[in-house]
Amino acid sequence: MKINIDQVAKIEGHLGFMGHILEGDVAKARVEVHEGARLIEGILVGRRYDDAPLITSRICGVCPIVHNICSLKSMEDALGVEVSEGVKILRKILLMSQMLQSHSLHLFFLVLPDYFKEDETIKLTKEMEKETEQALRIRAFSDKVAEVIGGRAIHLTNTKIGGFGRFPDRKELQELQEESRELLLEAVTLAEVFKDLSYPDFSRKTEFISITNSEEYDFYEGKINASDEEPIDVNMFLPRIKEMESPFDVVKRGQYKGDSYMVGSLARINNNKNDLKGEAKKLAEAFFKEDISYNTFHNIYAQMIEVIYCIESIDNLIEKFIKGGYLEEDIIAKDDFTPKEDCWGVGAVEAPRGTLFHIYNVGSDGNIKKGDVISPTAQFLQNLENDLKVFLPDLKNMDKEERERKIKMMVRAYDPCISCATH
Amino acid sequence: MSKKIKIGMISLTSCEGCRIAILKLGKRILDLSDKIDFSECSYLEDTPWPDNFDIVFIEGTPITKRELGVLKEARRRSKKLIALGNCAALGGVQEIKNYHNKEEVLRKTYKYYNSIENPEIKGIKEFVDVDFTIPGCPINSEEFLEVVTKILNGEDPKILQVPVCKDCPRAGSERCFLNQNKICFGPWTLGGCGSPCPGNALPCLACRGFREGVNVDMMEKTLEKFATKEEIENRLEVFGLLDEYKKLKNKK
Repeated sequence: MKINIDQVAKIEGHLGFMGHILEGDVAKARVEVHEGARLIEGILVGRRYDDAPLITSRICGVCPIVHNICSLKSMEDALGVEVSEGVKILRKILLMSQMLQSHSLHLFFLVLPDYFKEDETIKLTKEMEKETEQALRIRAFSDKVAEVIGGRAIHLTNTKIGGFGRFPDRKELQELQEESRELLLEAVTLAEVFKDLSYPDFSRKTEFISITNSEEYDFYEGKINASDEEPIDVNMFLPRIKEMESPFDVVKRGQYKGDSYMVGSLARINNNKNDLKGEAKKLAEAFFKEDISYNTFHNIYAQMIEVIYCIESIDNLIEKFIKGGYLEEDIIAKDDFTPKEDCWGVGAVEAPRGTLFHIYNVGSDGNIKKGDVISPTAQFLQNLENDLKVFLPDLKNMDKEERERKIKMMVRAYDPCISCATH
Repeated sequence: MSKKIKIGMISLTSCEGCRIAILKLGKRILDLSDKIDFSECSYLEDTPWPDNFDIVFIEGTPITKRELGVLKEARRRSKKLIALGNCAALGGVQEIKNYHNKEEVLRKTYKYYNSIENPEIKGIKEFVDVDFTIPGCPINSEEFLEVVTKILNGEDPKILQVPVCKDCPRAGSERCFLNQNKICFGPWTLGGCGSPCPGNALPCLACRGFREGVNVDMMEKTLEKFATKEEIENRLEVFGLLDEYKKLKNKK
């Protein structure tokens, strides 16, 4: 039985699927990327170091903040720039606004229609008016957080190597705190909807990789955590993954020690759920009763838990920032960090879809000699394909429409971002 | 009840940030769905294209042959075609490779470079007729709503030809990037963005394109007081403006 889906809608970018269910429980599956290569890494070469955060932000309009911040971190590592605790707090808040922006779009507008068997999202938004408004409020709040601290909701304009251009307005920060408290209650109600979705029964053992920070559930810094060894530093971890290239494939697919692996919300929840706090912790404990969930559809609920966590944490982090009493000089960045000699840097952050790595080599003239971006979707694309191979035989007795819907549901559960994967 | 307007939101290779920017309108965009039928938007629908559109918005640049076909087919089926954002209008950051050795850029990025499509990047007006352009990287969502509302009311959309400096808090002060001898294209760039770049940390890189009738020689003269020709051209590369700039220079 052959299955061909020309384009999977309701994901970021263009992806097709080809499958073949053979005798017994054997199946072939192939996800195919229909995106042009923009050669972002190639065009960085020869440009000044501070073009990297600006240009790599344009890799993705769904998650521009994480590319921008990961690029800043990696460049700072290369150039030997230290940032203050205040700058770190503000960046942590920005990463959380990014999680909210991306997860709220994915969960509500891209995923939910599947579970109500509705092809047209607009119809669903009318049937679920209250929930639609809640989801839109989360999105609007996250945009506002990005604007107050980062200068703009999409493609930040206030972040720089070494810090920020403008000190965020204290009154605006306090307003965000107030808003976050109101929003938390609504988000907890919205979580009920996602808790009760009928997630398909699926399980396949795989490796879950994420940043783990020993102090908190964090997206900004920490060690890289895989199940088979103690968490290790980013530069130690990078040699363990390979970017596999093949002819005609614009995506370099990730491998960890020769096998596919999963990154993203489910990986983070599996690895770090004990570090959650407040409402998010309660929800995670009630839903994720096993040590590790191997059901990739649970990535959806894991995202919902992170939404709750981020709304609570933004409030707490703003409190910490204000109490820290930081001065202009702690936050405002200098202009010139041209290195004295050839240098290398690595940076990693947790993006909505998983761990993101940027790696740069800068020459003593301040120009980039090499750039490498390893995006979450490029890392998990092979894992998605491997999941689909195991999932397909379960679908062979369904009618065509239902079978295709289930395949798309699995693709969407991963929340792939094809612009990121290709870049 | 009058017939709904059929809209297509079509995305070619890009970051897709312009369609995401529209989401910022929140409920206001959903409210429009009484007047608009989103006949094709891969974020909202899982259905095939209709035979005809009233308006298609194109985001991104065509890189693969498949995308070029999509662009031409969209033009064929639509009464109006609108370029959405910097990539569609001017080529976007992916155009940087045009100004260097693009084959070498490809070889630096991929091992199996022979199998990767690597055309010269161009704004979509080089391939199809474009009726209107909503500029920016990303677009200003309020501007998008204004344009759509005008079209729904049967009026011609328009973007005021004012400079970015109009909304810039640095303008006229010592904080002005130009007064600090830093390249900023604010005075020559089409405003309406609210000046979020120079309003914060970054000089204007003209993502919205030049204003109509701008004198690029004057611009060059101003900037050459403190910057080299190469430095100016390097900044114009970022959002695909360098070729436009050279065309304007040659016109004189």
